[in-house]
Amino acid sequence: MKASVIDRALEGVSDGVPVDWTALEDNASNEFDLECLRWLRLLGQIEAVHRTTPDDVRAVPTTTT
Amino acid sequence: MPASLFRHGTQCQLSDTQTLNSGRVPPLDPEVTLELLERVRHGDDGALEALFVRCMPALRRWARGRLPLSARGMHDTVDVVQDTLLSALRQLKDFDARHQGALQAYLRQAVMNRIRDLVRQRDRRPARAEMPDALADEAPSPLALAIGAENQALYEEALKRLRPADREAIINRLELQHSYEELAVLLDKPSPDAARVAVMRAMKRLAEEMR
Repeated sequence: MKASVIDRALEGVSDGVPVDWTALEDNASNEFDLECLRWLRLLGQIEAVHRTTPDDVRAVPTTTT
Repeated sequence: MPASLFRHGTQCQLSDTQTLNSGRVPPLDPEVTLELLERVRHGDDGALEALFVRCMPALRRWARGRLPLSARGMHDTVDVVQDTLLSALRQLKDFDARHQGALQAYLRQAVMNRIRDLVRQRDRRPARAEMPDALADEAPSPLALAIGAENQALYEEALKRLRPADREAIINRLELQHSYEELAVLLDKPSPDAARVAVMRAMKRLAEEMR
């Protein structure tokens, strides 16, 4: 059975892999799915920011007593 | 030898910085988390330290996305996260943590509240001498740059309306970037696949909340 556009978007965002949003939107069958895709795309952007923002580990203080 | 963090009030003193700097620290089983929380409530600094070491790396990475761009690499930023964690961990009396994932989500909110407080202080006070440099900078955070302040607020509001379990799944996966293997332990799920399903269901509910 073919995964719905929503399921494909959910998998892509959750797994942190690139999602072809244009293709998903083109295949959306109704307004409800389109709006869901819009918000899932936003979640994908949030995920990407946290995945790609570098961690600066040298900033941990190292004072000892 | 464990890191020794708590000898001088809220100022962290680390003898084993590699523990915190290594990035990935294995999550705690739910039973261990509950036991450590109970010990923290009874004033056990060793338990506090153990929880801190587990929770700090992911939240430190998380803060990079939420603070102004100039925050990267600055000691002030890490101090904000560390001090907030220590303070929050010491005030867990009424917190009902079922697993480490819930604790991480709770601490993430505490750090976010602290960042907001500091930014409000910055906006109120023209003199910024006491403000951490990273927060005195008015450049937006990487997240605000990516999605805009309005969408960020919408997301946070929708997140609040979710059931705790859904909120914790989203925060721990999308924001704190835990792997599905880690999530299975953090969220007390039977397998990584079950953790993945939980994240996807939570995201679907969140998207519906945001509509």
